[in-house]
Parts: sequence; C-alpha cells; structure tokens
Amino acid sequence: MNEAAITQSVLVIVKLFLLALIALFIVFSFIVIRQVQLMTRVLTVPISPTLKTVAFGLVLYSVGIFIVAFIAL
Amino acid sequence: MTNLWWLFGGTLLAFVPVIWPFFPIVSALPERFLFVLTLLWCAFVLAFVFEEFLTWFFSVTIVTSERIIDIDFFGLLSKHVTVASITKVQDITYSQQGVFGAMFNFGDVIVQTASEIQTIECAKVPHPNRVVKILSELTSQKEQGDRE
Repeated sequence: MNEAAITQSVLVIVKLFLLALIALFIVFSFIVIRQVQLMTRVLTVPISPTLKTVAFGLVLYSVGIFIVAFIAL
Repeated sequence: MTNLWWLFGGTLLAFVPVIWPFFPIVSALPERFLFVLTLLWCAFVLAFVFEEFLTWFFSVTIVTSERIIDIDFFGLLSKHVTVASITKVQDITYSQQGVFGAMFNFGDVIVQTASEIQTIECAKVPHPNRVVKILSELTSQKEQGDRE
C-alpha cells in the first residue's frame, strides 16, 4: 500500500468521523429546540419567538454543515 | 457579572480556529477539511453559548404576594420547580461572598420554609438585601392579613 493510498484511507476515516460528529450535533440541535419549547412553556417571555428562531437557525446551520461536509469532503 | 465565565470562555473558544495552523495534526488536513472543521467548531461554540444563556435566562425565582416559585434548569432537559406558600416561609437569609459579590452586589438568598421542601436557594441574586427585605415585608403582610 503506497503513501497516497494510506493518506486517502485516513482522509476517508476523518470524513466519516466528521460526518458522524455533525450528525450527533444535528440530534443535539433538535434537543435544544425541544428544550426551548419546554422552557418557554414554563415561563412565557417576550423574547420566546426570538429564542425559538435561534434554536431553529441552529438546526438549519447544522444540517447545512452536514450537506457541505458530505459534498466537499 | 455571573455569566462572565461562559461569555469569556465562548469568546476564547471562537478564536481557536485561528491557532489551528499551529497544531501539526490539524494543519496536515486538506483545506476543505479545515473549512468543515471550522464550521463545526463555530456550531459547537454557538450551541454552548446559547445553552448557557438559556439555562441562565430561564432559571428564575418568582415572588408573589401568595407564593414563591423557584424554577431551576439543569443541563438540557432537567428542570426543578419548587412552589412554596408565603405563609410557610420561616426564615430568610442571604450571603455575599468574595470580591465580585461585594463589588457588584450579588449573593445567595436562602428561604427556609415549613413545608416538605425545606429550603429554596436562589443563587447569585442581584441586590440580595432588597430581596430579603421584600420577602420579609410580604410574609409580615400575609401574617397580618391572615390575623385580620
């Protein structure tokens, strides 16, 4: 196995690792949405819509990173 | 003031990608990997800061003329809600510790109740002396109202 093949295998492993990490982060971002829902249900505040928007933005951002990683790596 | 640690920490963490070229393992990766890694790192930092903000913002103590409600959020999905009637309040104490507590006037207020939940602890409350004064006045008013 030459050096290029070893490098390529390592990069594939790194790619899979990154994709797994991003997938975990997507799950985490959905949990954050659920957390914001629970919190705003307990305590209704004027900035609740803003917090929900930020939480949803986090999900979109994480999905976006996954797509970029899938295509670019 | 009490949130400085995660604000400062989050700001420092945001600049970590700048020093990545100094780490041989990371700098050996192709540019497209570094780009994705940077995006992922920013996402983690944003999530960390947002998470800390949510925990701080929604952990509150609500004092009314009828009851005290203490809501504490721990981690992602854990919450602890304590409700105690004002008439059950027995003792109210507060403590201010450290340089920052004294300088910026924040401290812990501990409410002792006669109910099953014996203490309600409100950590790092601004102007704890005012909180204790208000609670004392409320309990006195309630006692007087009940006597009448």
